[in-house]
Amino acid sequence: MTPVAGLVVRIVVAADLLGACAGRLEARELAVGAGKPYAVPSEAAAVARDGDTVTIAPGTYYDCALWHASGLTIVGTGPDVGITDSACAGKAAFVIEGDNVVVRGLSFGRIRVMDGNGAGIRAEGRDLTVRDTRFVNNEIGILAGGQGGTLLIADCVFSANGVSAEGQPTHAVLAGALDLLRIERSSFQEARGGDHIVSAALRTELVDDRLSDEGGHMSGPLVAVTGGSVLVGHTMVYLDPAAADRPGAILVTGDAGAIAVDGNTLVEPEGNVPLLRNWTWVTATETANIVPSNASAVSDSGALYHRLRGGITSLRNQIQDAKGLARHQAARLARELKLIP
Amino acid sequence: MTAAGVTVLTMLSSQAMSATLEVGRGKQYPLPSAAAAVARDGDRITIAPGSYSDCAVWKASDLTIEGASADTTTITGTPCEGKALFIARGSNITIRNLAFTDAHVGDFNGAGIRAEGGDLTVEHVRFANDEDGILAGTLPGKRIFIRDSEFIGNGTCEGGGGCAHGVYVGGVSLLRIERSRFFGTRAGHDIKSRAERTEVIGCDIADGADGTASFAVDISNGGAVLVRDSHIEKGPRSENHLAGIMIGAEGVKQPTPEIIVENNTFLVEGNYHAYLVYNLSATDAMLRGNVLQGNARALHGDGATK
Repeated sequence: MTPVAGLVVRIVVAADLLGACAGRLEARELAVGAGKPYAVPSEAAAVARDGDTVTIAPGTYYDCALWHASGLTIVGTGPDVGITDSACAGKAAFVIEGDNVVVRGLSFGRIRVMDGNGAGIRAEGRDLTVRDTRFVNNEIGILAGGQGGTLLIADCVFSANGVSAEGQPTHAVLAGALDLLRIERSSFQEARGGDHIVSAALRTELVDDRLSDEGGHMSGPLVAVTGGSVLVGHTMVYLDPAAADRPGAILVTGDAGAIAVDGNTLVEPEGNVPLLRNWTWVTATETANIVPSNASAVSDSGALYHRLRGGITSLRNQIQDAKGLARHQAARLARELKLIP
Repeated sequence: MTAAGVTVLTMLSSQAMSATLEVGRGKQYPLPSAAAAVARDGDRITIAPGSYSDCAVWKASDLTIEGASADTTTITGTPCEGKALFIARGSNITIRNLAFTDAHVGDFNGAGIRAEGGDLTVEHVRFANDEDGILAGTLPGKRIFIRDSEFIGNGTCEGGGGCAHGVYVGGVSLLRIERSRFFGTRAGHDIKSRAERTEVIGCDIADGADGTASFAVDISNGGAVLVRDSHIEKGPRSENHLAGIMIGAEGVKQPTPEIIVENNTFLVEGNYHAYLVYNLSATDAMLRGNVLQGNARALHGDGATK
């Protein structure tokens, strides 16, 4: 090698190293499918780096994947890209550990796990977007823990989720303490017992959605929100007459920030179940909702009882804690005074 | 001579060569391995009564290898290639009327028979105190038939490389076990299958007082399941109390078109409850006409009990 050529090589290598150090490795496209570089999604997941795009060809994949990298776009390249039957880590078909991931154009089905909370997608990073994706016959459609950030669900279909072997109903979407759960233009149907959506996010937004309990066996509300701010807008809700004793299509409890119910339509052939039952301390605002004449958009009846009961439970727990603490301190004092061994 | 003429001659000569090879003291071949070294496609190998400290790799296809009976004709000793007493590497091999005992290897998956080729049929064979009774890896499109056989005290979870089992079959198209008995399996499962379809018909699967088997039937990755007319008994020392038949414990990795469990008896003798079927697939398990005894329960997971 001539000295000049060696110098050039060294410069190029140095530039590469710099690029790598700065995290500027070029984002790649990883193609998944029969005859592609990666036969199944998990093979792509094993090598995916931050910013990569993973394209999955149509097919049925008995596979599950742990996505570690951030900034991924994972996208189906045609209709009928099915991820089915198999869960990773006893959690989900896709366990998404990276931040800022987009999943689009897939279908997740038939997920079961030992402890009954097998999901199509388990979100373990921050800021996940799921678009144009179907969740059919899973124990849970999407499960997000309490990691903060945003979970955006758009143009998705959830059907026949909420299966659980131990008789513990599960949900289509179960979100813990996120900053924002937003679900838009999505459809929820045929739940098998549990609420479609359960959210403990700081803010929960349902916009342009369609919620139904047709064909399912639901008992409680279709949506349960425990605290935080709530926006329900331009959403269609269909209630089956069989479940007229539920408190509301949407039930909000806990410490709410603000509740806005705007431009929704409630359809129920019989019964007077309100669109939203408000068991919080705040007053909900409602505008331009269409509900049957014997129902209301928002009802807070039962709130006082619910809050009192909650308060009593909380008080009882505090008393128990105080008693435990007192007993513990008395024992410690006695031990220090050598009254007991 | 034309090429066609050569082919015809070759075919004629290979048919003519199909022979019976006799194994035993004073016979043509003193040990099975001596016969295996020269066996050609289509041969029949008869093994005279006796205990043979030997192992053999059967490379030819369409073989029938038979002893006098499982009570009188025993293969034991050091497994071949660190794998098995008999390695069935050819396709379409039938093995009958033999016993395979005490197959042990360094990595704790020594088998009585290891299937590495095509279809395998095992009839009237006893597997005793082996690590695996029968072991097969991934053999796409192949079938394994086991009939009228016994699996006594096989299995181990020593070595840290996974467990060995009474029957352990990877990705084949069909595993069918009929009229066979599993008793006192240790630590592993009596039957572990990743087959596209697994059938257990008319079998008797019991831990007994000392057996420590995990599941009677472990359908690790899904696939079609038929368990019929069988008796399954979990004993007090079973090392996994969840179930008799476990489906999908290692993740469902293939289609599971049906799960049929019918006309079985399931007895749980230990001080614990166990399910006849623990279904982690999303395919409905159909349970019909089963008799539950002791601490037995029917079904966990998707499906229905009639």
